[in-house]
Amino acid sequence: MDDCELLDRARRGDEDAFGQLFARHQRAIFRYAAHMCGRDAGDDIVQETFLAVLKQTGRYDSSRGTVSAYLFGIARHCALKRTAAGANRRGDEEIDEAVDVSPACAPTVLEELSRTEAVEALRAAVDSLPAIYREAIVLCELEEMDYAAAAGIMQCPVGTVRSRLHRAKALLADKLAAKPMVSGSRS
Amino acid sequence: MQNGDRSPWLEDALEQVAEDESSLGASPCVEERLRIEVRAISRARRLRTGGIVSAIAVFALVAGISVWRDAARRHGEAAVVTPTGPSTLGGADDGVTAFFPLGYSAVPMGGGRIVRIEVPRAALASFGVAPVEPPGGASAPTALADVLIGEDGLARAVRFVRAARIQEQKQ
Repeated sequence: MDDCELLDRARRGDEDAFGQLFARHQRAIFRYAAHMCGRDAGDDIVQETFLAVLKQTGRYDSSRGTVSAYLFGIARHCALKRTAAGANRRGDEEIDEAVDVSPACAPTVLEELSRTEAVEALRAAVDSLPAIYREAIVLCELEEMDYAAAAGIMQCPVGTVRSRLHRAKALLADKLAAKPMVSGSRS
Repeated sequence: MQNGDRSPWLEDALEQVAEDESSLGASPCVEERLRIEVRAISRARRLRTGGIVSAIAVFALVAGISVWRDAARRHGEAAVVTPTGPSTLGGADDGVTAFFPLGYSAVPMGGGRIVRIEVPRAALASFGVAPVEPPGGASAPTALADVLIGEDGLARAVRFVRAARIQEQKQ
């Protein structure tokens, strides 16, 4: 059964259909929410997203995208409400223009870290990114969405997704390049 | 230099993060709370559907009763008869013969209707009624008959309309 049918049945009170739909998408929504608002908010955003779906506060139009994109759109709306998007986004826009994509020498740094350390360091770096770059990294890299799908969710052109992703990676490289100094100071 | 060219390690690390987080998900209580919501939706739909069906049934019943009453009123007093026996209805003086019992005359009935139909003239002979020629002399191939039909749809009795009465009706 495809997502559209599951969504339709779930809205009509079919518990099995809801269970399948939830199982298919809740993890991705949770990860997105956790990266955008913190892990503590993950449960709440997942719940708000699926409740909105069940109560049909947002109508699903299959011609405008997949069910996954629809769910991410609702989750994004919930996340933006939580993070007082207005002020954050203004700050992000300024950073958007100011980012300098300078060559990084991080490979050698990261190679010195164990896998666990690398993952933790990168996760921390991702979570410290401005929201618009974090969102691009989460959707395109961690959730492996194509640019078009990410652009649909982020409500921006594909080119903007590309540039945000490019700058997000540059910022991550810079943040990770600064990491060994901290490690060095500890040892 | 492109960012992707100079940071394959970053791509690898991102893959590792994605892999590491693949098992993350909402806690079971979230799903349970949402399932309760789905059950509530299901219950509400059932109640709504049941209400609609009941409303349609009541409407159909009321409409049926109204139609029945209208039809009965239109047929007048003669339309609804009491089962006092076919032979007491009508008579020679009314321009009609007495009622002749039919196959279901023994079946009890609470009410019924009289329906006027055309039957072959030969049917009169089978009930022992002599066909009466109309005044003009030209005999029609059919004669009029009143059939008493019970509310269950079974024909209880029949009577025949005399020629004089037919003439009156034609006039």
